[in-house]
Amino acid sequence: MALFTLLPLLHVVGYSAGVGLDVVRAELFRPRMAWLLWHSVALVLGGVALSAVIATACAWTVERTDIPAPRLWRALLVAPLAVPAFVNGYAWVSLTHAVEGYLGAVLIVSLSYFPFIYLPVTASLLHLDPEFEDTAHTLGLGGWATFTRVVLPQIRPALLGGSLLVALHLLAEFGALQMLRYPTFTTAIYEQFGTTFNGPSANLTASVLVLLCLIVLVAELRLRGRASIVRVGGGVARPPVRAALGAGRRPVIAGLILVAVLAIGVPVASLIHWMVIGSSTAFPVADLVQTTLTTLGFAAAGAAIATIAAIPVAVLVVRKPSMISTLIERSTFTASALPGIVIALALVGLVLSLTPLIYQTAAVLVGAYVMMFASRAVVGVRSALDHAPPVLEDVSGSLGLTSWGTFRRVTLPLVAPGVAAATALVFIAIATELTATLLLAPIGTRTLATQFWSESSAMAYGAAAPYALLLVLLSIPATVMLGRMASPAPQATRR
Amino acid sequence: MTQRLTTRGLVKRYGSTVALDGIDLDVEDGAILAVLGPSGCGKTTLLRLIAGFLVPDEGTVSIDGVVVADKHRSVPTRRRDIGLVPQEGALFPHLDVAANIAFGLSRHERSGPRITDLMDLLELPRDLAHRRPAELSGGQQQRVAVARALAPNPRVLLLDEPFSSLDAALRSSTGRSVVNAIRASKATAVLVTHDQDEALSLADKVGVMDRGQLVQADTPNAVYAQPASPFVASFVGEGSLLTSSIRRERGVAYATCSFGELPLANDIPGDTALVFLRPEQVVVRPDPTGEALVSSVAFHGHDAMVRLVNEQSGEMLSARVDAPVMPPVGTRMAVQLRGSALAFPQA
Repeated sequence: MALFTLLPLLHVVGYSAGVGLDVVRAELFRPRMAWLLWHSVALVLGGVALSAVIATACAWTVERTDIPAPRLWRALLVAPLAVPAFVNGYAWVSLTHAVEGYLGAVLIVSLSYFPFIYLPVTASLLHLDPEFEDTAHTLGLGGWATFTRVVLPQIRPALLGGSLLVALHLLAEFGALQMLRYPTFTTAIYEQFGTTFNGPSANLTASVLVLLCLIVLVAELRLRGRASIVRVGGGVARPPVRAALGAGRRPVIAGLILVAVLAIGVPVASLIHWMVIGSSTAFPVADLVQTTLTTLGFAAAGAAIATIAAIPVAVLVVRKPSMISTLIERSTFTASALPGIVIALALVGLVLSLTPLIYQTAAVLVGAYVMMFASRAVVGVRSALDHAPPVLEDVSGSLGLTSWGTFRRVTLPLVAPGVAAATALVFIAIATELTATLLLAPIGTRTLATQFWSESSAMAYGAAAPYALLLVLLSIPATVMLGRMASPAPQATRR
Repeated sequence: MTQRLTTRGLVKRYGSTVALDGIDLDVEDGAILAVLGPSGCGKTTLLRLIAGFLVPDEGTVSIDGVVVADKHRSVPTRRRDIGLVPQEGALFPHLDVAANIAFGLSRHERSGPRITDLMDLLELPRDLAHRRPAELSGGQQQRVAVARALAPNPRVLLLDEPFSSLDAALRSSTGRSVVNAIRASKATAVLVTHDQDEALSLADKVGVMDRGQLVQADTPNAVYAQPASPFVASFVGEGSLLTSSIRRERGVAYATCSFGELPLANDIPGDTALVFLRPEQVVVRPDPTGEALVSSVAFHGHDAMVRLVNEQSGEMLSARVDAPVMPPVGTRMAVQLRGSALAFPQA
């Protein structure tokens, strides 16, 4: 499992090491490379900054001020996750070409990805004991000073973790940026692959992209430092005192509405618009059904394999923590930090050199899905296992149950919901995956994402709309599940 | 009385650290043994060896005279016929109270009156039967955990600091009702705790552990009155250890310490000793010529604990006084020692 998820990284490194210094120099030290590097870095910096500002401002406003209907805002601010970024790009660009270029790209990717920061920041605000803020107020700090000196340091791990996720997504983003005509390493690799096919250009550009991802990972680790939140004493945190907005009320609410309209209103309206126009021209029911079934089939196979592979890893990490088990767990994360395009490229290279027979088969595509999303399954199964502490199994054994009986009557009922949720998340991630599917899908195999892509690339916006809508519908359950992270957990009454 | 649970020479090592260093334990049928010791003394390891979650490196565990564990083979926990009450109860969160209690019963037994009998025995209101563990108070959770462990009539009930997560008031009432239930069902129990009040008030026998060894196992009264070592003396109840010289006169040994002189309960060889004084053995009264100064006072409602310091030797002594005559800090006091003192060889 660990080795399997490390394959793409090993391939990219191995390839780059193998082609010789002259080729590397010729490929990498070109004005075009510098230009791509500048574009990618600028997009990541702009996108992460804008996402962080939107997410933190929204989270603080919803959790710490007397804004009306906080529950509604929580739901609305997570909802953009239900619209895949490439669908969002299509929704905007099909309405106006003004969003093409740097500023438009930064705006639209931020609107798509800011919930990745909003979710952990909200979760950490909800867990943050308001005592800290009360204490700051008693020490004479004002609202802004309390936020910067007390709240911000404590939500920093969440903010950085979310920003890391956004940065990795932006480096990997292909569909939306291609739509918005903003070239980065990822779109460049796709085009190089299309023209030279597994040539040195694509692979070497991929290695630069991998390097960028690693830099982001290391930077996040450095910035995070060893900061940890220490909460002294037990007990349940009280609900926070919400600041009165006063005169700022109207502008703040207007700002939240603007975010919601841009992130959710525009794409949904655009989709409906094209649905109405598109259905008047063509509504290929048979094609839609066929594509949906193919998509669900791939997603089911990938999700099942990823979950089954994740179970031993998670059990090892939770029950037998050691250097080795942590290493195994972390190795499953490396592939998920790599852009889908790099994984696809690596698989093309590996399959062609090792077992050309399976090239362009469903097996390779499912393998890519497992590599990309295994870490999500591991994380999900791991947190499910936390619901079944070993002491419960001890008690069950002391009451005379066999290991099988304990598994059936104690462990399984406790972990099943969490494992099912993890499987569902992987399922949905696969069902809406575009980049790797474009490169690896067997000829003639069409998924919702690839079919949407070919229609919208051909400017057939109306024909693309039904596929986009299905992709959004498929993403809704996962969005709801993730949204639970950002809602106050029902408090158990203990003691 | 026959021995229900016996351990002989039990040793458990974790790498180079010795968690248990030769434990010999006997628990009679129907008795409640409290294993008392500071955290890290090995008491939980002992419990897990008896339960069968750990395998001893040396020595044996026997239940009803049959060896269930030695270093070669270990009967699995589920066939040892034991009951376990972990810290915080560890109720199955997906099952209600009745289903938790019924967990170890066969399908046939579950339909009988056993569950309501146990709920009555542990003073659990019957309308709790279909509540989830998260809806119970901490004390109720512990009682359900005990009912669950008692349900299949185990030969030995093991309780691992079961009351430590409860607040003081709940701790004593829960402790009492649990012990009543254990006695009523004639079960044999081993209770691991670091709380001396709990051990002294609930158990028939107290085993005191220190750094992997069982330093004394006796009735609560004997452990308190005749501690086997300075460690036991100061861990079980309060008291002061003072250096003193020994003087023998007409076959009687007297200890002289900086606070005064009193006869020894036990003579030991040599001229010096560490003597142990309980606070109730120390009588104090304000006296401007006294040598002891009050250094701190802790008020306990019915009485107060006064810490005295001797001006000359710098030694400390605790005395219990009635609350109304509590002296302020800094008062000069005269000290009188009564009864006899226990002597330990000076280390």
